[in-house]
Amino acid sequence: MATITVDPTNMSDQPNPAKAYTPRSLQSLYAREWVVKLLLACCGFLSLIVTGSIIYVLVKETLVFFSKPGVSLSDFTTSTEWTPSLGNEVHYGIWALISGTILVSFIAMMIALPIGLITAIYLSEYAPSRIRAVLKPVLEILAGIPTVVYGFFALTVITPSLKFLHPEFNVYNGMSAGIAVGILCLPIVTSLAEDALRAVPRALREGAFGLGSTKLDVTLKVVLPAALSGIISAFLLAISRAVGETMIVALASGSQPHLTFDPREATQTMTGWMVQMGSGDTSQFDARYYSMYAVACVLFVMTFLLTMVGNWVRGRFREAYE
Amino acid sequence: MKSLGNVLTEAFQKPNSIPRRMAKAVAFNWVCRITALCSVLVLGVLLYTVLSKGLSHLSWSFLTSSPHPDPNRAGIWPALMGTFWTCAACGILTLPIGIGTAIFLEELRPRNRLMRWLHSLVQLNIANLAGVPSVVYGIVGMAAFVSMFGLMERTVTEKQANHSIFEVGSRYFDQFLTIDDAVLMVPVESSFSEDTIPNDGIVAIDLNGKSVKMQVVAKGQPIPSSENEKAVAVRWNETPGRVHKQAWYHFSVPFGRSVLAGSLTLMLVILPVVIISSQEAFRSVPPSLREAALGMGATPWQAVWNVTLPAAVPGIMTGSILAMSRAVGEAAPIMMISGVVFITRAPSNLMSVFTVLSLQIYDWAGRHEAGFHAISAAAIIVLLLLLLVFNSIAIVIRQKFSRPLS
Repeated sequence: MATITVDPTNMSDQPNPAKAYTPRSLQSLYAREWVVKLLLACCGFLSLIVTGSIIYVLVKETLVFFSKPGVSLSDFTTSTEWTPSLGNEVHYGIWALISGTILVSFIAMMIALPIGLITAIYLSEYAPSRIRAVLKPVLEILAGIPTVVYGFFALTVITPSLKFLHPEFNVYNGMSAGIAVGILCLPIVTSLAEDALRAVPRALREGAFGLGSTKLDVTLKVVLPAALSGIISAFLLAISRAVGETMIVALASGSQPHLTFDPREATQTMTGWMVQMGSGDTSQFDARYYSMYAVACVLFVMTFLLTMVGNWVRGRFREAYE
Repeated sequence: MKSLGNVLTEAFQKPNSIPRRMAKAVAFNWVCRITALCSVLVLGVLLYTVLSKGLSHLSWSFLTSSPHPDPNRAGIWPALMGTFWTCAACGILTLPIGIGTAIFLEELRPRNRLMRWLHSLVQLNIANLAGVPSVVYGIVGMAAFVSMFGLMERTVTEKQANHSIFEVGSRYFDQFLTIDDAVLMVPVESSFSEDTIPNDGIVAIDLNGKSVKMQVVAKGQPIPSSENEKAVAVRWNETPGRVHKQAWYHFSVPFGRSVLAGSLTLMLVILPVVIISSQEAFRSVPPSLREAALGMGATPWQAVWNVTLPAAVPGIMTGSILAMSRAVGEAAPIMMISGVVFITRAPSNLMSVFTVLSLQIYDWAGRHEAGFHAISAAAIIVLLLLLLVFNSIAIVIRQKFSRPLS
């Protein structure tokens, strides 16, 4: 049997001699490979460094905050008053800010979760392709609108409408900010929940139809439970987004941190306080300035937990149908 | 044929009867439709508000003039240029790192347990970074880039307090007023050198850029009469003002509240987004392409560079442009870096103080006068148009390159 030998250098009849095979040393090839891999690994580690420096900065500056006179950890964790600017009655009670955040996020979720989920169900189960072709881009546009625009919307449209309906509303109030944050979170819930619903295989639906279910039965009793893990993780992501939302609350919810769950009053969230300190004229050596880092620390832990739980739920309770 | 009334009465008489279930199903369908309409309605009201308030203020002079205490004369030029500078710098910084990380995670399969563990750690970390609120990135960016962790603070003298430790592309001058109110500029070493004392024969630069020799009019001495002498004559007790001229490549460390610090902070914000979307793009490249390249003897990097990366470019570009549009709209981290400041000049280099469009909108929207709300709406229109351009580019790329690869 004849062996076919191909000599790579003997290809002179190729049309483009410049592109002819040029032997390259394996060593240089391996060296290049190694350098490239090292660079790529550096890129990967950069994200770890980013996390590390976030934690480093937050912890370091928070410690500076707690070493300031008049600041104590017990006051921070138990007091319900946030009055850093009051001369002799200085309190740094994080609950005053947390209550603002909870109020705004709760209102936002009351809007975003039901509307988002039902829109997702409609898009995935009911909507004819013509309506889908309109609704999907609308949601994408809503998702792409900068948050400061929603803040403007809250201030110039939502608040006047609320005051028109019920004159007791303050110019700055938690309700208006909450509604705007809800609108912001709506497309997030919709797109993630729709992905989860669409991932449920057709066979399940067809099986349920075959047993005589109505479309409602199929949707609520078969598809929804099957997609539940994805939907819950979508909810958690939306909550974490609402908790961290900044520009809307900075514009629409006012700057009076106090423990209240009255949506008509002005309130202040954790992010709102950070913006007030970061944007303003506060001296960089003031305890108030460093309080921003302590608040950021709490916020970071909250969003971190929400993200972790969301990922865990999605992984742990995923129904695999393959 | 039963009437609707009949169906309904029957439905409520017999729970779980078929008509009742059908009625429920129909009702739910309508609930869905009406709810889905909400988002369209909200978008409509939002766009209507912004357009009705802002469209009348949109003009060429609005685009090209600076902020002003009078809303009718204010413009967005510095903010618009600030947005361009920060986003351009942010894109240049983010893309290579983001794509590199995506290649690291998707294409370089870990061989041993340590590497596998590292891969999953980085992956988990990126998922978490994507959930960190942008305002937290803002204050971290302030500590890391503006003051460089405070390691480089120098407070030896008052003048040195805010001075950089490394600097190129900047020249400092002491500015003197001459007898006839012209300006003479005497070059000095650095921003914290001692004030120049007026002296005969000091080489200075006049307004026309010519080198001249300064002449001092001592106490009690008559003021020179000729125009030429007046132009270089300075009173003995004149105190100079320190000014600086910066080249386009001006660079200094620490970065201060500069365009560069802002772009680096924005990079932190959008990096996870770029990484995750690039990973999706790599994942959607059919494995057969990669395997064919590897089978022909390509090294892993050759396979990535020549085969998978070109195939993934449309997806990467789409995701990156969408991430950039997020960077354009971000206001919170930029506010932490630059503060809400009144800036009348567009940035001229990476070290300039700056403001961005979204921050300008925030500033105007937060004021009480209706005039500022109107120009805020006009600025929102510009911002939304900018985003529209970004998204159209993404859509064009997606349409043009979305050909099946397998």
